[in-house]
Amino acid sequence: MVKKILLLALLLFPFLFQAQNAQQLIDNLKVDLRNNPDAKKTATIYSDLTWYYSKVSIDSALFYGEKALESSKKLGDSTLLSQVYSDVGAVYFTKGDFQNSKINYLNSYKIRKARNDAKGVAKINNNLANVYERTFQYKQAMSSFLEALHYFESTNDFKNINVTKGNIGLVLLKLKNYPKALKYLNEELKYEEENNLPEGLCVSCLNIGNVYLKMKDTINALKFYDKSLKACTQTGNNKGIAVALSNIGSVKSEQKKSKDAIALYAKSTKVGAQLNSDIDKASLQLKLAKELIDTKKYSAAHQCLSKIRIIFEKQNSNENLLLTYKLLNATHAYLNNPDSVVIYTDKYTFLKNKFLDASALKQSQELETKYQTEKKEKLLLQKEIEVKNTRYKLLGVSAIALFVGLIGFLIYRQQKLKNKQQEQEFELKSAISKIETQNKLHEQRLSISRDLHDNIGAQLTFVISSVDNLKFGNQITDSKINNQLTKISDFTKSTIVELRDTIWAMNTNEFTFDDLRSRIFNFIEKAKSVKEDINFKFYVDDSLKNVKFSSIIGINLYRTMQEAVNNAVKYADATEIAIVIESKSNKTKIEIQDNGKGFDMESIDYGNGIYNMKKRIEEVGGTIEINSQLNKGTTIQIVV
Amino acid sequence: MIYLLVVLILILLIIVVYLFTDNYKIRDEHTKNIQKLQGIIFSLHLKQKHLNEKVMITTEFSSNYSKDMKALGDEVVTLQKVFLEIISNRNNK
Repeated sequence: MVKKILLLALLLFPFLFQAQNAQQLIDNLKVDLRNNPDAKKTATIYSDLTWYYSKVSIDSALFYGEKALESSKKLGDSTLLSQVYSDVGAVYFTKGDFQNSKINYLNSYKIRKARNDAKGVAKINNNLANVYERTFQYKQAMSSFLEALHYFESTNDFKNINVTKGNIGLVLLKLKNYPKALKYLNEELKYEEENNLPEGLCVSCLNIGNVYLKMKDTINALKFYDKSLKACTQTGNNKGIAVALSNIGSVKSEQKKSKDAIALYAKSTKVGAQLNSDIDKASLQLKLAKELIDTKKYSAAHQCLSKIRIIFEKQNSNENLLLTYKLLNATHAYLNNPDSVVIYTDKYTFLKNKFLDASALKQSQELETKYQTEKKEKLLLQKEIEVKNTRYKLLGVSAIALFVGLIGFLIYRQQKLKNKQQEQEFELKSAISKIETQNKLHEQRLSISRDLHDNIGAQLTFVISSVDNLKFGNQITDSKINNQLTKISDFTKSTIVELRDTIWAMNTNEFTFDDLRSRIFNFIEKAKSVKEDINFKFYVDDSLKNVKFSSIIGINLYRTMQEAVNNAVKYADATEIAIVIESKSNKTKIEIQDNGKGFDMESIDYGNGIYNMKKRIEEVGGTIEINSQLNKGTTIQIVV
Repeated sequence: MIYLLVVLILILLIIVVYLFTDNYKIRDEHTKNIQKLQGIIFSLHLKQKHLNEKVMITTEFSSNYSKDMKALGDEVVTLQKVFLEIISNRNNK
């Protein structure tokens, strides 16, 4: 007994604060309204009052709904008008007037569709689906819910996704597919618990409790009804509180605790009276009638059922009507009214057959299955995309690793190359520096040599001059002295000539055959001063005129030719001397011919002159060939 | 994430291309430097060759000059002998 009192106290305590939140909001809105806001603000306040009153007082909600409709129509604001229609639809839905609720929702749907307001259309679809569900049009209800769910999922609107899932759960509950209904409703519950949404929890817990009750699991049903009652009290949802109390009463009834059930129904009636919802009142009366039958008060039950039958028939509340017919049937049976039993049995059978239209049930189930299949396909597709993405990421990371490796290798190779290049350049620069030093040294030596040669030239000239002075100044008659002085003078002159030739060779880097010819001609001219009848020819092939050779080759060739001509003049008594220079197999052939007395090549002992000629030509990498016959002249052939 | 990877790959690709180009430039520059240095070495070598030849000519002349001077000295000695001979003949008369 104490426990019962405590339970009742616990259940009644929150009513003191019930509707506090909604009522507070309504009071605030009324204060705003008293401050004479502009037309648009006024219409918005009316609309908000309609919505909040729908949870507290349906009559007031409808009153403000009418005002809101009037104001928004005057304003011509289609957005506000569609919202007001939706709110008024919700009020009628709460009232249990599904016909008017549907009309208002459809008005709102038309406006939102015309405005391409996809989100608004989805919300209205959800609301319309609730109306269809209550009027046993399960196929349409499921179709509208799925349409709304599809939109909310595409926009990741998680709140509405879960609300719609909860509604689908309700349809499945009506279709007696309890496990699936639980699945959907639990998804909604989980979201609402995670996001602390007491308003949603009020409804979802109530629905889950209903599922458990249908599954005859009264313990879980009671647990969820309690949860629902707390959430509804927290948000001031009178309808939720009334339904929760009524349903707890149903559980008590199932547990054969009629007194508790009746007490709870009475409390529910008290709370529901504030709402003034005909359908809710009638529903409660129906539950009460059931309890009266259980307590064998058939006449009272009959009176009660007769009253509510008219309301349910008027509102097309078929689910309640079905139970009403069933209970009336039982009542008339107990009251021994066979005719009435026959009438209500027929009515009950007709209505039940109408509800349990097999094809409609099947189609609704199919729709849900189709949705689930699509969802699974979508999930599979998402997984495939994820796998693809992972593959791409792996490929990307591999490519990055490859590139990083490549960059590392390139930088390493570049550094190595730079070092190698620096080494090479350093080696070459060192070689250049070494050669430059050597060249400077050579230049210095040559400079000193030139100075020495100048000095030697002056000294030799002085010697010649002194000897000539001695010879001609003192009128020396002694032949021995004269000869000796002449010898010294000639010797010194030849040394000077050699010195001049050396200086000539040193002052030029490259020679041509023309340079050689002019030099040889100088020499011949001097020879002619001694021996006048010499006919000298010098021929150079045109192709060799531009050929250049180094000073060492030049001086050696010049000295060789000079020696040959000197021999021809001095020893062979030649009158014809010819030097012919021609090209022969990429080489140069120099031929020196004379018509002198020649010599016997077998018996003659070659002197220093011919030995030096051979040595000089060999030094420059050439060959020399000497041919001579007695009285037929001599031919010297040089190939370089 | 994939976009980030693509951007990263593109950046790395640009770096790789830059490194390849830079590498090519370094090689090219080095080749030019080496060619220039080789040109300098060639001209210096040629100059060295000419100088060596001139040194050889000078050396040969020096050698010949020494011999000539020795021979000239001998001739002068011979002349002195002739002078001495003439003077001693005069004194004997």
